[in-house]
Order: sequence, then structure tokens, then C-alpha cells
Amino acid sequence: MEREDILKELGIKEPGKEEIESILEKEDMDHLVGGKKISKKKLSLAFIGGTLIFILLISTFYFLTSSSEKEYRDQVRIFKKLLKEKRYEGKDVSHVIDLSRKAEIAYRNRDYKQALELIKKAIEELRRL
Amino acid sequence: MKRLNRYDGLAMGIILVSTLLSLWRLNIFPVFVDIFYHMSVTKGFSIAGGIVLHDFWEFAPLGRVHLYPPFLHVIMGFMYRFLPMITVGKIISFIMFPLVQLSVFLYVREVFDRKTSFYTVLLITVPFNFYRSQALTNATSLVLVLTPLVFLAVEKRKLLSSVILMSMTLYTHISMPHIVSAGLILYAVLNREKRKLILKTLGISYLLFLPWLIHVLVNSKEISAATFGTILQSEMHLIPIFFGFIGLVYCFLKKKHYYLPAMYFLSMIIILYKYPMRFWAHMALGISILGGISLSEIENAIIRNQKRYGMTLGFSVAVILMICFNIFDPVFTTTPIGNEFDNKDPTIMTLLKGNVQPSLITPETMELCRIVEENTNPDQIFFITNPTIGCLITSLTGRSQILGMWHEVQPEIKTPPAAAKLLIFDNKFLDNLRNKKPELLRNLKYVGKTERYTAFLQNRPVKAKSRIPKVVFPEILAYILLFSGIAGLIFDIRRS
Repeated sequence: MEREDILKELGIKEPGKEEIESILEKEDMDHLVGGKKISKKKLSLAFIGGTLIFILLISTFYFLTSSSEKEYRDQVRIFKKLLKEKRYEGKDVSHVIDLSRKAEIAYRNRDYKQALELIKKAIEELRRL
Repeated sequence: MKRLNRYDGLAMGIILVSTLLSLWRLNIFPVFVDIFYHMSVTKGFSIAGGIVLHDFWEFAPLGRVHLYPPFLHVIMGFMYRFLPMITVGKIISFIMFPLVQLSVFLYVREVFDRKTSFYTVLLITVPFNFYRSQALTNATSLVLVLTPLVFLAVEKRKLLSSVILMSMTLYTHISMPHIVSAGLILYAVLNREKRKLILKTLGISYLLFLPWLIHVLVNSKEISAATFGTILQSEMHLIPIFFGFIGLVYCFLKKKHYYLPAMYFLSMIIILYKYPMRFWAHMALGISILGGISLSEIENAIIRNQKRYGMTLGFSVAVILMICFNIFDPVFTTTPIGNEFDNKDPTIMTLLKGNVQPSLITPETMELCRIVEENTNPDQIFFITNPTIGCLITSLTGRSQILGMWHEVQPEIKTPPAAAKLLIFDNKFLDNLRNKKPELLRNLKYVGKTERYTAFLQNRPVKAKSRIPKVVFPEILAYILLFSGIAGLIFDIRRS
């Protein structure tokens, strides 16, 4: 919205420069006082740049702090939920349980990568049933 | 000074609501333990009759070099002349958040505009970890309160005010003020118009700070180089950070006075090196100003094309955002072994629900103070397994303790607990002692007990006594200087 439009909207005809400043300030239009206008191009650039920095920061911290251990625990939660469902459906889950036990042993031995692989395999097997 | 408008009303509303809620939750103040260190320093200065360069109230009887800049303790000392020490601690812990809201409101309102100032206040009020850190890290909090005022004085070309405020900042904390200086220097490099004033401000302020700076430099080997926490430990409040980064880029594109908040924020990144967890709390000041700038410009861009209902629409957007940001605060938390996205309660919501730890000033700690006061003379020393509670006891009783806080500065020699007249053990420590070294308890006389602690007096005569060092700056002169500074500020403001 330009100064003239606002003044027209307010029903004021041809005001002096000082009057314009005073009206604009009163009407919460600080950003137009003193000829300061919004640059759409700059704002769009800032939006893109800022969003990129934001994504970069979050993803860097996400990848630096994502651990196989935590992922394993998350997968175990999914596994347990799925196992419950399949048991309820009356499916034979014995071989899957065997896989999950191996995963648990690997986890206890702090071999988180192996544990993660095994539990993922167990989830896949459960989904196939 | 600009006239008040409805955006000012919203900003003041946020400040008023958060302050009233803080008053409602007054039992949480002083928050956590840092204030006990400052209370004990204040008590130490009060006993000595002014500023001393050697802690005699901690690591007694030998003490350690006193390097903490004294401005906050002078203010607290003045308050202590009229109020009990606990009240002083409560007020200092309570006041820092509303003060930083007000100072940032003033700076942004006068240098940018009222809409930006409202959004800045809104964003700074969102993260509860900033609220907590303002109530907790008292000296740093005071620096954060003074920083926007230093910026305002610089932007308004008020040399006297900027020198007074910058000097106050330097005399408040050992490292945080240099971040303000770094921001100003970077700003001076980019903004030719303000270069001379900034150089004058920093030059005179550091000259005034020279006595304490020399004292710190001479004793710099006493300062530990330890880093507290890891860089992967973070708490990112996504809303202020997202809009803050947009504002950061926008400020670089807009140049001129927009450079200052951007440079200040970039200077703050150095905190990550020493105190990673604190960075994510203190950064709220810089990021909120940048976020306020971007949100205000986004709102302006929205109303620009709305010829008929532009102003109403803009204000409605502001009100809706104010409500949303005070309900939802998406946070990304990381530790070296994991991360999680969570929706935390923003400050106002947290205070409303009351999910805050109560203060450590409890009937138990008051009972410990009574035991210490009744069983020791003013120059006798006590030992307690928890030195932070020790600082609280020192600040209320004036008795010196064997251990201490602020571990960045360690004493040359640590005195064994046996040098203390009174020993206070927590029950776990006492059980261990009974099992492993029962002979150490042989010469001790039981004098009192609380839920977690048991107190003993030494049966044998104890020679170790705390010795008060020579005062280098009398209390009365410190108060005169404090009020001269305030008078100088008033004079400089009224002059225009």
C-alpha cells in the first residue's frame, strides 16, 4: 500500500509533507515514514537465504546427533507394535522373534549397527507375514 | 520518543502478562543456584566494607583471587542496605527478564519501528530457556539487559550514555561484554557513519575498565580453560530461529543500522566454543531482534497489496501470531547420542501451568543457616559437601566456607575439610564415611540434622580462621560512582 492510497483511504486530500509523516505514524505505518519502503526483492531473497541457513543448521545437528542406538530403540518400538498386531491376527512369528533376540544381543554388545540391521530385517519379515 | 500506538499496546501487554505471571510464581525465585554465588560476594563485600580483590568467604582460610567484575555486586550491596539478602536475591533473579524485554523494546522501537519492536518482544518471550537463563545467570543477564541500551545510545549518537552503559557492561561480567564490543567493532567496520563514535565509546570504556582488566590479566593463569558441555548439546526454539535467520539475511541486504543486530548475533556465536548450552539460551536476544525485523517486514509485505483493509489485516496477523507463538513452541533438542523434535510450553504458558522448579531457599536450607550461625563465630569456617548451598549459607550468615562456586577460578591450594570448625555432610557422603573411614568421625560432635544433611562440630581446637583482606575500593565510593553513572545517563538523555 502506498502513501497516497492510505491517505485516500483516510479521506485526506493533498496534505503537506509533515502532515503525511504525522498521519502515517499515527496509523501504525512506521515503515513508510521517512520514505522507508519495503523491498519485495530483498525480502524474498532474505526469505530464501534465511530458510536455507535454517535447514542447513537443523540438518547438520540432526545428522551429527542421529545415532544407530537411538534409531534402534525407535525401530524396536515399531517392531513391538507390529508383533502385537501379527500375533493378534494369529500369524506364526517365531522366526521373527529369533531375529529380534539376535538384535537384542548385538545391542547389548554395543554393536548398534548390527542390532539396527537385524531389527529392520525383523520388521520387514513381520510386514511380509 | 514516538507516540504510543496499538503495536506498543500489544508489546506492553506481553511484558505485563509475563511479569504478572512471574510475580504469581514468586516462589520459584531465585531460580537455581548462581544467585547464591552473587549473594555471597555481596555479603563478602559488605563484611569487608567495600570491594576486595581476594575471596575470603570461599575456599577459606586461604581464599582465592577475586576476578568477578563487581558492578552487579555493588547494586546488590546497595539493595542489601535496605532489604534482607534473600529479598535482594529474589529481586535480582526476578527482574532480569522484564528488564531485558523493556530494554530490547526501547532499542528496537526507537531505532527501527514500533511493529518490529512488538515482534521482537513477542519472540524474546517465547523460549522458556531464555526466561530461565535470565533468572539464573544473573550477571550475564544484566549484560543482556544493558546491551540493547548500549546499541540505542550508539544509534542516537549519545557518547556519554554509550560510554557509561558500556563501562557498566564491562564491570558486570568477565566475558559477555567483549561479545558486545565485537559486535560494535564489526558494525563500525561496515557502517562508516558510526565508526568514530563506536571507536570513541569502546576506547573510553576500556580505559575506564583498565584497572579491573589489569587485575584480571595479571591473574589470568588462575582462570580455567575448561569448556562446559559439548557443541552437540543444543535446544533450538524453531520459531525465533527461523524468523531470525530470515532477518539476518535481510539485515545484510538492508545495510546501515540493520547491520548492528546482525553483527551482534554473529559475535554471539563465539559462546558456542565455551558454553554451548548457554549459547542456545542467550542467543534469544540477538535472534529475536532479527526475527522481529523479518516478521515486521513480512507483515508489511502482506498489507502492501491490501489497499482497503491493509492496516486491519496487518494488525490481525500480529494478534494471531501473538496467540499462536504463546501456545506453540516447537523445539529441536540434541545431545551427542540423540535428538528429538518436541512442542514445549512457551514462557507464558509455562508460568501459567506452574511447571517450574521451586527455589532452593527452603525450610531445610534456612535450618542449615541457623545451625551454622549458632555453632560458629564470625571468623570460624564451615564445610559443607554441597558448596552451592555453602554460598547460600555464607550469604545469609557471613561465615566463610572451605569450598566454593564459580569453578572457572580455582584456588592455588585447597584446604582439607578438617580445617573447618563445623562440618555439614549430606547423608550419602556420611554413610560412605561411616563405612570407609569411620575414624574421621571420631572427634566430631553431632549438633544438628535436617532431611538431607547432618552437622558436626570439631571436638579438637581449630586454628584456621577467615581473614578479611584490605578493601581496594570503599563501599561508599562505589555507590557514589553508581549514582554518578545513573545521573550522567539522565543528564545525557534530558540534554536532547
